[in-house]
Amino acid sequence: MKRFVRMAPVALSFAVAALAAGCNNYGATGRCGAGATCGGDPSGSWAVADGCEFQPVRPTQPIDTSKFMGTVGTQWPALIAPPQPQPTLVQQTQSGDWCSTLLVTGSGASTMVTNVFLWHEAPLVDPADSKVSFFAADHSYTTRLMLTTKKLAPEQRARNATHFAPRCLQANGGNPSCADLGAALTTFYMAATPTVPSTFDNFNCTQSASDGGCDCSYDMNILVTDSGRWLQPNNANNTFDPGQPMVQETDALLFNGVEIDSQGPSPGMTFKTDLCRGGNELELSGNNGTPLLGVYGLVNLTLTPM
Amino acid sequence: MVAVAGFVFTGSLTRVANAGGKKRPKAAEAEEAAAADETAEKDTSDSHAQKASEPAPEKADETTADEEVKAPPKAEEPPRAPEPAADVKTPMAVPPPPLLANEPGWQFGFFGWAELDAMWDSTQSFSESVLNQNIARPYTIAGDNARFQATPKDSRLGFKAVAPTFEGMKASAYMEADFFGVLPTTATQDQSYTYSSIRLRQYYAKLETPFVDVLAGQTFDLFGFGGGGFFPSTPAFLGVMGEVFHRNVQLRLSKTIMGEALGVEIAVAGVRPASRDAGLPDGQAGLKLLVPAWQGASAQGPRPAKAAPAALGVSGVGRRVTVTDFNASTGNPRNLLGWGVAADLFLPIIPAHGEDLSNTFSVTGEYSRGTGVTDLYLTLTGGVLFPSLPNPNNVLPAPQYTPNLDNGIVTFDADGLPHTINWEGMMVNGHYHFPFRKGKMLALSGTYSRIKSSNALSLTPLQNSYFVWDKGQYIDGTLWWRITPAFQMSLSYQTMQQTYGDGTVARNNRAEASWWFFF
Repeated sequence: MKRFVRMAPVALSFAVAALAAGCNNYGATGRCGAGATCGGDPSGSWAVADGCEFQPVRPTQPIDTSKFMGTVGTQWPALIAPPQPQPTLVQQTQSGDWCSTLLVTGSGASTMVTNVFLWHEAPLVDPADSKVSFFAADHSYTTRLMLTTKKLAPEQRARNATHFAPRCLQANGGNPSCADLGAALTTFYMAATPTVPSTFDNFNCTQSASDGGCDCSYDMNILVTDSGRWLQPNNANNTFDPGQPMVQETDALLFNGVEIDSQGPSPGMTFKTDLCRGGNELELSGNNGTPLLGVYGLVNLTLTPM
Repeated sequence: MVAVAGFVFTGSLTRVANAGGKKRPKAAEAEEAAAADETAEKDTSDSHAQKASEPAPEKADETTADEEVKAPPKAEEPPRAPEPAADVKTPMAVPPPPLLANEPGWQFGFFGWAELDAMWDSTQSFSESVLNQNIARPYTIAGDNARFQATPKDSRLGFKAVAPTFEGMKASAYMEADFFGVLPTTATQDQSYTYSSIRLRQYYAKLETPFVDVLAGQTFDLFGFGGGGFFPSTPAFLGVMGEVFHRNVQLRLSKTIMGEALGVEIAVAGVRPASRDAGLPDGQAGLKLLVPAWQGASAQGPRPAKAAPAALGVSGVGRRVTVTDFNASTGNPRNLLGWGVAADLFLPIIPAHGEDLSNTFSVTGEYSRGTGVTDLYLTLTGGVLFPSLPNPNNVLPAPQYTPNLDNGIVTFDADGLPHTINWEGMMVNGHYHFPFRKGKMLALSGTYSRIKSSNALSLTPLQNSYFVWDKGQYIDGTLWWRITPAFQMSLSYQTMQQTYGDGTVARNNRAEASWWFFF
């Protein structure tokens, strides 16, 4: 008995560790949790009723590094995830640019912005402007997802703001007022995306009381469009077995009209999608926590017939 | 017998030639006991998340204090004859022994412990040690998945050598190492846990004279009175979040005066600067008061408790920080002032009765604040980094800022001006000793600490606010069981959290079981 008592703490410590080790979450799906995988037939045209996203804060893989880095005079591609100081590094080694790479010249009506990379919160899917269709006859699909920070809660939406110190405004010979800067930013984004929503809009720039620079607030929008084929399961009735993911092969995945590719051109890029059709609902989720429909941070969607 | 780093070892190498040979005053003994405690805490540092514990440089210090009290003015001591050369005393066929070990009066002690720590964490934020490292945010792979580790790296190996007293002066050397040496980045997971490399913790020479004691080498910083009996009783690798804990290369001058009612230690040190390009050493100073008659159980880190006097320490650090100009076309370096103050307390709430620690309860506490002294809180940065240089023309390769200073001490604001980072920390630890085997068998301890910064977030560009935290706190509770006087184990639960710039709270829970064999 005495010996047992002496060994009890040792055994207890290992037991606690063993029990605790069984309490794993997964992480890749953020707060959304794992999606249902009951299978079923996805065919039909679906409206987005609900969805779940999370804000990826670790810069794992940018959608495309070369496009992420951009080139002089072109805009940064629209990104769902908030910009990371060093997008290609998981371990950050610098805290980012205070000026958000702003390049502004001139003043008054001649103020011109030719480069900027604004921080933003992750936008949310706007159900009213989003739909997904799986066509049974030729196994093609189309996706339209509108994501916007206008759908965020007010306090989170308010975080879409950047401070430009006087040093940033004057670094390239510019001397704009804050109103000039706001107008020039609007023009910059409108010019780049004439056929789709501006990546950033609703600019409101006011003079900062702290240092005389400009505090600019704004909204961020991304229209994701995709089309391609979904590979049918091993049966004729297009019904997926429980646990069997649907493979989608894209022809063109566009973010605000710009083709997005991860490891090459988007045509031929594939996604694995878990699905669960129950009654009049279809739930889609990325397989094993991977991004749904190629949209980083999008975890699952609940769809209803259109 | 000689006590070193909390261990008592017999002079098996040679006999102890205590020059004075006088009986120690009670106050001095109390001081020594206190010193003995200050030893072993575990700490860690570095990217590989090393941990380490601290020994008791203090032990040596104590010895000094004792000498101070017991010995009459050294100037009055009769001059001693020069020590005979080693080879004179060595048999002709035998080569000279190392360290003059055969010389009369030399002491040489070997000490340490074997340790195993088994740890389960609720996140994948850390390797062995927690310290002030960043906790992975929730809803990420690292933040939502568990990790289990086991390591013997905190095992300790050390020795102390003491030369015969010479004309009232006593010279000694102290060395202590653990196995948290930095491994190559190419080390595999298996190698990093089983091919541990040795790490120098403390290595210094000390000269104790009737007027002042001189310590030259690496030991705990005077700031926070590291090794001075103010460490918490915890199996966690020290320092806990918000606790001042750091070792450094230094030249320290100190003077200890022990009376029956009160003891005083005054010390100043020139310390290797965090900013070597400042061209100046850091300056540190401290004052410690001891009340020898008010004894309580003092347990430093994982070390078994001993009786020690109530103590209060105040200390400070001042430094010049020089940082490379933040500009693509580098200008002259920028200079700033860094400073810190700390107050430490050891309070026997329920005092001890001699060496009997039964039913004793003691509290150790620390409050500190400073700016530009982040490195003195082990592994602390809060995620604060240097900003990127502007690159509005997207030039490739992008201009790179190359700092001449470690991250987290200084950074630059939106106008390119440097600022030191402010931190304020506090820690309180209490431990109770059950009335078994004179209070040296079972004990309970608990720790609460916190740290916050007033400018870590405001000095970070918005893009990085997700990676910067400015508030952290730590709580632990531990059951200690000293199964035999030499073999001890503990079960501990530790929880810690940090608040990131977007309000997200990251939390880690750790369950830790540890075993020690002290020798």
